[in-house]
Amino acid sequence: MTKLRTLIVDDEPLALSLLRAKLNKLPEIEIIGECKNGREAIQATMELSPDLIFLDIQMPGLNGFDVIKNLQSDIVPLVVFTTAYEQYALDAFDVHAVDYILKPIDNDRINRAVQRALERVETGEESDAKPRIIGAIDAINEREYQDASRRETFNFQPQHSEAVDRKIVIKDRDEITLLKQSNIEWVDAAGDYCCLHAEGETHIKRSTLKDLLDELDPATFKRVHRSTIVNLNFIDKVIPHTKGEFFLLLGDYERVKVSRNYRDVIKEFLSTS
Amino acid sequence: MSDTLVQVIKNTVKSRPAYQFWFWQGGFWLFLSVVSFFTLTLWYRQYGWSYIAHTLLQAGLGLLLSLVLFWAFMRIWERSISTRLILGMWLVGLVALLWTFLRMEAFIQMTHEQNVWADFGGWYFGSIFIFLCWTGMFHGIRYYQLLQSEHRIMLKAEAEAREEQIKRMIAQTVARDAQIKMLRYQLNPHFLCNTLNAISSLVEAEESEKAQGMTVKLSRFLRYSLDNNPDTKIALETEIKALNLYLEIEKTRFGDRLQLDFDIDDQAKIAKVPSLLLQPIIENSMKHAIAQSEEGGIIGLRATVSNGRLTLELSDTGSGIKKERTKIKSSNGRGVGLRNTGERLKALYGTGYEFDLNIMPSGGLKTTITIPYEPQLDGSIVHSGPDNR
Repeated sequence: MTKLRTLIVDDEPLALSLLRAKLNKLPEIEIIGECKNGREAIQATMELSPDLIFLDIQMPGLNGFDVIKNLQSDIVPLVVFTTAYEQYALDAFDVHAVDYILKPIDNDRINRAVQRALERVETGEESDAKPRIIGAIDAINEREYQDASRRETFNFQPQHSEAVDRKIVIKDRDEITLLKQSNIEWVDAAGDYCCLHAEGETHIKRSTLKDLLDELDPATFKRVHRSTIVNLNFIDKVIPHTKGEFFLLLGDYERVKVSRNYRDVIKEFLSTS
Repeated sequence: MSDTLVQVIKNTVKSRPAYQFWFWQGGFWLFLSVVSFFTLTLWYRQYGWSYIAHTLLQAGLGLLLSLVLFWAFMRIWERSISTRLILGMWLVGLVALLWTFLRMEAFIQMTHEQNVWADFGGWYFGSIFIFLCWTGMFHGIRYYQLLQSEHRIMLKAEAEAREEQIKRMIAQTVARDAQIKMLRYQLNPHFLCNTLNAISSLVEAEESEKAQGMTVKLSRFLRYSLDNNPDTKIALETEIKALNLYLEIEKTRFGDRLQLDFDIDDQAKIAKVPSLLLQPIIENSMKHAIAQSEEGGIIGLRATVSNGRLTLELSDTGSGIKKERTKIKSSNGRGVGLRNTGERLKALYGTGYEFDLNIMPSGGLKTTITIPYEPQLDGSIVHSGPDNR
C-alpha cells in the first residue's frame, strides 16, 4: 500500500505534536515534514511535494489561506485545514467540499479526512484542491464584506489598446483594483478563479486562465506549468530541481516551479536574454 | 401708553407671585368703589364730591381692614378646616362690623346727613357680603398659587427623575455591554478550542500533570471572568493573578514565542482597578502581536503611582510585519477591540481618566491608562482572587 506523504503545519507546538501523534497511528500516513508557519509550509511544499497537507488557518505571517493562495495550483497537494475557525468559514468549506478538522482534534475527524484524501488519490482528482479552497475563500470574503458594502457590479471593460501599461481589472471584495500588467509577477489558475501575484499580494479574479491569457501581453507572460503563467521580467534566478523540473525565483521571496513539459520555455528565455 | 402700563403690570404680576395678591387686592376694592358709585351714589342722586370721596375712602378703609383678615387667615392657614371656617366667619363678621361703623361715621362726617344710624342693618348686611367675597377671592388666589407651584415642582421632579433614569440606563447599558463583550472575549471560541486542543495534546503525550495544570488554570480563569462583575473594582494584584492564569495558558500553547515583562510597583499592587480591565488589551496583543509574529514577542506591563494617579502601561512588540501594520491601522484592526475599554473607563471615571494608544516605531502597540489612585486599605487583596478557591 502506498503511503500518503504528509506535511503538517501548525504554529502551536502542542497542536503540532498532537497532530503528529494522531497521524503516526495511521498506517496510511507518512509524515515527511513539520512546519510552524506559512512561510515554511510553502517552502516545504515546493521542495518535498507532499501528497497531503494538514494546515492550520491561524498562523503568523502567512495564514493557512495565504499559503494556498501563494502556492501554484499545479503543486497544491490535498489540503485538510485544522482550525478553530468561525462557523461561517466552515459553512463555506462545506459548500466547496474543502476538508477540515475542528480543534480540539478528534480521531473520527482525522480518520474521515484521511479516508477522503485516499479516495481522491485513488480517483486521481487531486488537482482540484486549490479551486475548491479559493472558492471557499472567496465565499468567506464575500460573507465578511457583504455587510460593510454592497458588491456593485460595474461594467468595467478593460481597454484593449496597445498602450504600454495595460491593466487587469480585479473586483476584490469591496473595491476594484486596476493592476498594472508589468507589476504582475505570476499567475495561476484555480478552476473558475485566477490568482494574480503582484507586489507581495495575491489578488483573486473570477476568470479562466484562457480568458486572462488573452488579456495579458504574450511577449512577457509565459506558461511554465499546466495552470501557471510567469512574467519573464521578474525571473531573478533559475534553480534546477529533480526530474528535469526547475524553480524560478521571482523577486526576493516568490518561487514558482516549472514542470518538465514546459522547461523549453525557460531554456528559450535563458538563451535569448 | 396705557398698553405699556398694562404690560408692565402683567409682567410684574407674572414674575412675582407676591405682587399677584396686591394686584387682585387693588382691583377688588377699586371695583367695589365703582359698583357703589353706580348703584348707590348715582341711584340716590348724591352728586356731591363728598359722596364720591366717601366711596373711595370706604374702599381704602376696606382695603386696610382686609389686611387684618389677610394676616389672620395666614396665621390660621395650617389649622384644621373646621377651625378655619369658624374662626374665619367670626373674623369676617367682626371686620365687617368695624368697617360698617367706620364708613358710616365717615359718611355722617362727610355728608352731614341725618338718620343714617337707622339704616345700620342695611349697611352691615352689605359689608358682610363684601368681606365674604374678599375672603373667597383671597382663598381662590392662594389655592391657585399653591396649585401652580406644586405643579411646577412636580414637573421639575418628573424631568429630573426622567433624566436620572436615562443616565442610569446609559450607565447600565455600557456596563452590560462591557460584560457581554468581556465574556465573549474570555469564551472566545478560538482561545477555548485551541486551549482544549493543547490539553488534548498533553494527554496524548501522557503529560498528565501538565494537562491537569492547564485544565485547572483554564477553569480558574473562566470562573474568575464569570464571577467578577465588570462594575466592581479589585486590587491590581488580583487582576494580575487572573492575567497570569490566562498568560500561562497561552505560554503553554505558544511556547517560546511568548515572553513577559511585568514590572509592578508595590504601591500599585494595592491600587483598585476595574476588574478585567487589562485582559482584553493583553488578549488583543496576543492576537495581533504574538500570534501574528513567527518569532513571537514580548508583552510588557508597567504599573506606577505618582501624584495620586495610577499609570498602567501595556506594550507589545507587534507582528513584525510592516505591511500588516498599515492594514491594522486602516481597517478593522485592533482599535475596535480596545474601544470597549475606553467606554468602560468613561462610564466609571467620567473625565478623570486617560486612555492612549500609540503605535511604536517597532510596530508594537503601547496602551497607556491613567486613573485615580485608590488604594485598597483593608489588605484583603485576595478577597475575590482567582487563587484562593
